[in-house]
Amino acid sequence: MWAITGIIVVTAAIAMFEVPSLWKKKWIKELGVFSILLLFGTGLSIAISLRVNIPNPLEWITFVYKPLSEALFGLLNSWGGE
Amino acid sequence: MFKHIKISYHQFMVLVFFFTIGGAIIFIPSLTDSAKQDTWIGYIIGSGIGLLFVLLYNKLGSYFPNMTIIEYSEKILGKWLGKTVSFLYFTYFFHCTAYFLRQLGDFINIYILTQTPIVAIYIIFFLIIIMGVRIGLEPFARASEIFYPLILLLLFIFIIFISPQIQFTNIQPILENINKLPVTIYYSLDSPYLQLVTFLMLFPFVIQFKKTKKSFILGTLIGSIFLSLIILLSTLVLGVYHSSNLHYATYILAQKINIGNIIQRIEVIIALIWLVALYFKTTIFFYAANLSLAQILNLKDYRPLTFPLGILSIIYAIVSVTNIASFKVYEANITTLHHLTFGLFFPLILLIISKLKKTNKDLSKIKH
Repeated sequence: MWAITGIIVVTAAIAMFEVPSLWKKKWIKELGVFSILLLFGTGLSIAISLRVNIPNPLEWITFVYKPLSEALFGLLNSWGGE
Repeated sequence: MFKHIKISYHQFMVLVFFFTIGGAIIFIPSLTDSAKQDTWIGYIIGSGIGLLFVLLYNKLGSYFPNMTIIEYSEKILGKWLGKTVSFLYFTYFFHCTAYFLRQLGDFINIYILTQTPIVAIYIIFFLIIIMGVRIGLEPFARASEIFYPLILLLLFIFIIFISPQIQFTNIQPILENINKLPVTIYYSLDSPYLQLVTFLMLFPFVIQFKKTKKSFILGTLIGSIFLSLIILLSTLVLGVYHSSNLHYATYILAQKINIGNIIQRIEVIIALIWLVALYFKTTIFFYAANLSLAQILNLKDYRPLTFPLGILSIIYAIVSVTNIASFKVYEANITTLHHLTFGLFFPLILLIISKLKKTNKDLSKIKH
């Protein structure tokens, strides 16, 4: 509970720091991107503090490169005489 | 966008130098795992190939001296394909930011602040990175210039003080494991030469383009000389077994320094070199991530993105690495391929297509 309160306070502080200057300059697109990313970050932080399982991006990268990696290491090791 | 920012070619060289030694310098002796005492030969060959990558980046950058890789990939590949490649580059820079943040957090958690939760270390360190990115490239590059002599001095002190402990039997017999050299060369490519593709984001900000190319090569060369020396020294002093099995071998190597029982335990100089260099490296990656996202979405400034992307980087660093063993497995099997995709495959394709387009243009000029 305290973690969630802390996350929301930090988010509010960042928003208070950033939003007024953007609003004054009428940078609506920047404000939109900023808000989406900030909300995404806050949501994920709360999910972590509630110990929700978040999908691991490194596993996706591993999934993409795994066949290539196995082939390559087979090649390198066969050259090395193993 | 942001065309008023200018840094000098010397500052660019210093940034390249920090980028090259940052991250790698403390882990680099662990490459001795496969080729044992001949690793330093393999690493020098790998560095030679790494300098060829720098030539590739120079060539690609010289076609579009006023644009970042995000802008010209859109120009070369067309709008949608270009945007896709740009977005992949953004994910790459973002991934690397979190990756080096993780390395820093692990080191501080193991050696310095052992009781502190790792998230606290991330947050403190990331606040400085965000500060560096928000004040902009110019002050940041000047700061790197201030640290440059200090870091060089510390590196020289380290190399001179450790040299009395050298035992030449440790690298004999030379060229015994020559059949393992391809593996060493393969690993040496991503630590750190393929990551230098990030500097294609900084090319348009450097004045005097011709000298920039030279300083790019020079910075990489100085960094690679130090990295090769550290592999050699680690093999000579610690021996192959300890070099390949210790996680932070260079740090342990500095603990061995003992000059007449007076100058001892100065391993913190390695920690200092590594932290400073890693700070600059992570900040360059984070700067590239912010700038690339701002350019993909055609934003007027990248600064509003720093705090949200900072939060997301910390989350990425926490979520992606569950423990250090899984991180090591990932590092051993996947990292180099991931870096090869962005450091070699995409730049090469961009270069070939832009060359073809250029020749087409020249031909059409002759016809008319």
